Amino acid sequence: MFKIIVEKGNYRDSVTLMKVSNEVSKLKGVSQAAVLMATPLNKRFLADAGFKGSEVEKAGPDDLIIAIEAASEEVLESSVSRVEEMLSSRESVEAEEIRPRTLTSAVKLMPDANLALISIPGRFAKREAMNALESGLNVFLFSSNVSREDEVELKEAAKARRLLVMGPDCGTSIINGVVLGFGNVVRRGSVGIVSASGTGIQQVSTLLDGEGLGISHAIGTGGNDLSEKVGGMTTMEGIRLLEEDEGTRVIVLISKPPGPKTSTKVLNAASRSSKPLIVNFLGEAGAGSGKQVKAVTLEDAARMASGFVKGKKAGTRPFSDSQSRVRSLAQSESSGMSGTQKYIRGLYSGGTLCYESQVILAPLMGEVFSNAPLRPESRLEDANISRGNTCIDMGSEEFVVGRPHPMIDYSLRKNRILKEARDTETAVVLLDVVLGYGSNEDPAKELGPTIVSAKKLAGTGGRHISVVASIVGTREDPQDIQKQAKVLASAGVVLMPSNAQAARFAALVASRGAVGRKLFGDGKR
Amino acid sequence: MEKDREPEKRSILKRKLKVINLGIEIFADDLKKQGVEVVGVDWQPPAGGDEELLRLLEKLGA
Amino acid sequence: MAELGVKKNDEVLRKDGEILIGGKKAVLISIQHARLYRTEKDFPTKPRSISEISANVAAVTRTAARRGHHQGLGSLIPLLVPSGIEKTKGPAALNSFSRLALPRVRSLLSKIGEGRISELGAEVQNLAGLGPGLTPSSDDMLSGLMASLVLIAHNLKGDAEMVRRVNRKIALSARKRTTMLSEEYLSQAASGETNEHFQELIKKMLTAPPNEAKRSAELVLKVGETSGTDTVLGILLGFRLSLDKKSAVGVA
Repeated sequence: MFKIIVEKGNYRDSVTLMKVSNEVSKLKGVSQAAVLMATPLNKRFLADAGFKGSEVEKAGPDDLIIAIEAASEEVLESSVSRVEEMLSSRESVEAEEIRPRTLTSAVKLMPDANLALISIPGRFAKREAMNALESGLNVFLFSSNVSREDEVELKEAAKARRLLVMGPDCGTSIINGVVLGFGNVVRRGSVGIVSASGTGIQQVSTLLDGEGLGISHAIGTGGNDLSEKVGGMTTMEGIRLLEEDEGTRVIVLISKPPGPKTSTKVLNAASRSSKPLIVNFLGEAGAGSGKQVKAVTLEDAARMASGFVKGKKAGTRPFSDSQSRVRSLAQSESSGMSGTQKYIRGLYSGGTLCYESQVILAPLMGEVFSNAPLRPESRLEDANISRGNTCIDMGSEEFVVGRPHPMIDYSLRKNRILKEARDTETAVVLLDVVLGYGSNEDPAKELGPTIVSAKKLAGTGGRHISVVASIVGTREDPQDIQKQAKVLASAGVVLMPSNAQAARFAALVASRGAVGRKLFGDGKR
Repeated sequence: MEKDREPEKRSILKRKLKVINLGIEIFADDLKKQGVEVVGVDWQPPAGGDEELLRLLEKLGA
Repeated sequence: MAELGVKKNDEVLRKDGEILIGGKKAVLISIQHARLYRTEKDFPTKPRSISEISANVAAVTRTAARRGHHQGLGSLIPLLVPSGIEKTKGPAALNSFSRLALPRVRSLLSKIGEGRISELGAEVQNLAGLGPGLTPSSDDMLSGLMASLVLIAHNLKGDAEMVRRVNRKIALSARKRTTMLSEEYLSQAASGETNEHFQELIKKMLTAPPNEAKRSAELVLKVGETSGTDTVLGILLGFRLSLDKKSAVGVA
């Protein structure tokens, strides 16, 4: 039985027409269905399919024809009403995969959504983040280039609603075992982290995972949360949440050293916490007070957290491996080096790891230049040209505009490795290799051949280049960490268990063992 | 705009994450790999990215 | 529109850059101060060599065959555009429109190739208005074809005058054979006007490496759904005709 509906002057977009056609065709008892504009050729097509009649003939090219052939009157009727339902402007047409265009329509699709993950360009981000908060969503704001004023406005709006704004410029969080943004697959456990640094979370969490421990939650606060203007709003809310969280026994706070006012404010608020707080203001030493202890490096922070959880005193050795082994490894790395080779060239994808390396290298090697230096006087004139001991954050603005982040795209780093290999003053190339969600699928495949080439290049100049790296990752990460280690090692890379140890080892090699005294103290073993 | 729905008493740390992703699709993909429910928004800059028009829209409360 | 007091069957007046709806209780839409998008015919980057462009055509063809939608004429892509996949892919299941359209498209292509402009009218009348969609599938294909012929001739120094005559004939022959909207799109496409996604794709195919052309194709196929695929078919046919030295619209 045939049924023809003609909608005069009907303008539905093609997607709607197709949905109607598909859905009606699938109805039980419908042998064929067509939804077509009544152009001469389509009318002929319909006639050939059995849909004839004066209404078809009279229809013009701007009219819509819905033609249904069905087994029975009932089926026809129900399919006709289905069509009318779908075409009536009131219904939102359902399909297998709707892609909403706005946050509002997304919330309609998922009314119990509780988090918005926002990574759109900075100048639009605040507006959307505010929309999200107003819709009752917590916000993970990956976007950068959001002004401090906007950040404050967002965080105050969040506070009023008891919601969390992680960011702006937040690369990592781990909430309830779920990695947001860039992050590693780590065990669930009792160490909580609040951090202004994404890679900081990655280093600490992977080190803990390596010891069999785990993370309850890692709350990214965004890089500017502890600035004087923002005053640590998310940091304090994060600490409060972890305080309340039954699964958390220890809290680790990570950031570059904040200004004194904010530092005092945050630490005072945190002192009310009943749980031990490990404060890692990178580079800031200090005794801490009461339940607050200070960790100088990320590795220290992980060790102290581990100490608390395991009820043992945290280790303080400069290397996991024995002194004799480390010294002899360093010796073999520096043998074959010419007298001109003096310096370390650190090429980093993680800004915090770059910073941590400088914190470690400066007391050992003297001034370290950088595009993200410890002190303004050590800023490189041109980030593309190394000088003396240099650590480059290749994830910073000047390298990243219009390109993917160096954790994903290794091309700039590869070029730079070769460049440093050509420099007669380079003794050690120091790298971070960050695995996990968001990162490159196979960093070792990217780096391996380049490192082999780099060593060859230097070799033809009569120089032996040492390449030292640490892998930030776990066994559960999507990249196969054991394979990564194997491939890198066979390319001649010396792998250290942490970024801090990699930096120390690099110093040992570049100084031809001279910094051994500072590292190991005067005693042997 | 649905303003200020009933404030959820429990913090985000206690709840199963249900995410709306605006922007880079890789983040949504990675969440799906972790078994998280995600709705991806086909985000386009409002007003075609035109700054002035955008400001006008904001003034209108759109 | 209802909220603005506009009812069905209200009068619409069009004048210069303005539309007035509903007479006295009027809604006026004006583009006088709008920034208009116009296709840039001159691509800033130098076009690649013919063999490189052919490689791009093959890459886009494979992408479209894999990712394209098959409700309209999409399934004709591997059959009409040489790319190497013809050998590996089995005969595709053609929908009824594709089956109908296939010989007609072939006929159209050979007439264009031979420069038989006067015979194009009949060919186009056999295609325009055929297929699903608010802009019927065949029309999208014709739009893609015409727009790409213009942009290719312009940037590779082909016979722009011949292309103009071919396109004019195609657009005119589609009159009264399809919806008003489609007629409008066809007449725009005849002078090389197309939306920015398609323009971007054509530009990439002419001036960029294969991976960029592929990415551009992926975007178009995703955003445009069936209509995107049909237009891409047209674009690929435009390239096929233009890269054939012996065709009337071939760039030497």
